[in-house]
Amino acid sequence: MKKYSIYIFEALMLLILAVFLYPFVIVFINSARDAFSVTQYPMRIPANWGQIFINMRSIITDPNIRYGSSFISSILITGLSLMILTLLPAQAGWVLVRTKTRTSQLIFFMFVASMVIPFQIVMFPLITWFRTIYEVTGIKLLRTYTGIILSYLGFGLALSVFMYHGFIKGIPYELEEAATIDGCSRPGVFYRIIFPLLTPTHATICILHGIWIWNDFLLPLLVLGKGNRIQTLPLAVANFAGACVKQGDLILTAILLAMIPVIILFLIAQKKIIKGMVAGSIKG
Amino acid sequence: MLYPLSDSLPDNQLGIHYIVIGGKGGPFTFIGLQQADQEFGGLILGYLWQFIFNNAIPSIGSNLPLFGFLALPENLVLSKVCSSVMALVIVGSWQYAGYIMMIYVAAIEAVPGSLYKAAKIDGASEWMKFRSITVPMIAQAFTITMFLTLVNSFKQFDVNYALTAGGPATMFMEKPIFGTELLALNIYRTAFVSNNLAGGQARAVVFFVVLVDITLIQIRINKRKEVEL
Repeated sequence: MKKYSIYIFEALMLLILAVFLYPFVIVFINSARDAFSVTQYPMRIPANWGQIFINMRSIITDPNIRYGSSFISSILITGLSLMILTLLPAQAGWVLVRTKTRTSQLIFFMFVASMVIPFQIVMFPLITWFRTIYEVTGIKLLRTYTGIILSYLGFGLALSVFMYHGFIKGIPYELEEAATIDGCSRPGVFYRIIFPLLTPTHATICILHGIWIWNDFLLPLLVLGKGNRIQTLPLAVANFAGACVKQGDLILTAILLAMIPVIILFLIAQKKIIKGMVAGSIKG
Repeated sequence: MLYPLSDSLPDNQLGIHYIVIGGKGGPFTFIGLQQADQEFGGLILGYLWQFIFNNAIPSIGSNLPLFGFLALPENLVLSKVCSSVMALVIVGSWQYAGYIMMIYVAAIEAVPGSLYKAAKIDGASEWMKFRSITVPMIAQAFTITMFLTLVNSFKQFDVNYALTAGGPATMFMEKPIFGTELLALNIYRTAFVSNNLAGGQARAVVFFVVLVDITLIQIRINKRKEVEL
């Protein structure tokens, strides 16, 4: 009796899975169609799978979407932001944990408090500030890599400091004492002992922030703007879908091309990603 | 305004559904695939679902005579306010369900197995076990998931931007009234499309206050139901 109920649940779960995966199937089969049959028979298995490569090539060479350059700038922005977002908060968290004064407590509290404020509230002051900085000092922040990486740094710092703070608390102080007795300098203690011990936290931070930065749309739209030389992948897809007269086949191919890197990454590091996201949700 | 509430409900229902099944302990490794939905940005998902609602569903109607009403242009999902809100709800819950499930799975795995054994000795049925052990023990996860879905639905911007772009709009006093413009999109439009930065900022502050109030109330209600060992 019990065995049957498990089979029934398995079947039910498979059904739910099918419902969940169906949109992916639709993307995949409709990428392999020409402009006519995509509006006519979107549900059928395509007759000619070779079309998928023709569509892909027309997306990659399309002047509106500029797939190659936006892919590279997406990777640049995400990678540089992640590097800064792991290095700086780890240092900050270490100092905040190891100096036990009123001031450091206050600073940590301010970091945590800033996590509560939603993005929508600070986006206008951010843009106005960027403009003012440009007018006063001549440093260009809007529509540049510097500007967007700086803003990701600001928005991601709080969560990173919070998580590093929690993790560094669990590292025994005796380790650092031993290193100091052996003649390690203060930066040496951090880079040789603390930083390698933080590897699981680095992974969690990279996954949480990486997914967010890669997919983010509103911040690049504000800082980089539409029709800019530098654009991230979501911006490119939005530009393309907005500019084209509803070419269903090509839009779906663009979606497929934007999905492929994420799917590959997800298949490689599935376990770590799930662990990191669950940890982030429970701690953050 | 109703959207965030209606969005967080199906998410949690799906999650609960999974608990019922996951609690029994079967080999469900493929569930991890559903998690993948979360990794794509809302923008890409918005365009994908727009295609499904505009092309795929009418094509069912034109190919199967039984569902012929689906092909009529006035029955398009995104052409009416009411059904476009439902479309937003569907996309939102589809997007976050995998993530929410993973949180529930982590919570269920943390429930000590000795409790189930004790219940079995006392002769409890599966349903009783679920109702009086699993649900109270993972009340904390309910708090987290409700909080996440509420906040995320309130902040929903890119799905809204890509899927409906605020439409379908009706004209009223020679001004377009957008049917499915959510708060974030409305703030963005006020500030950058109609160039009213101050008005947009004021709306953002009001949005923040409302969001804080609602989440505080939600957390207080949920905390009351949590048990501690």
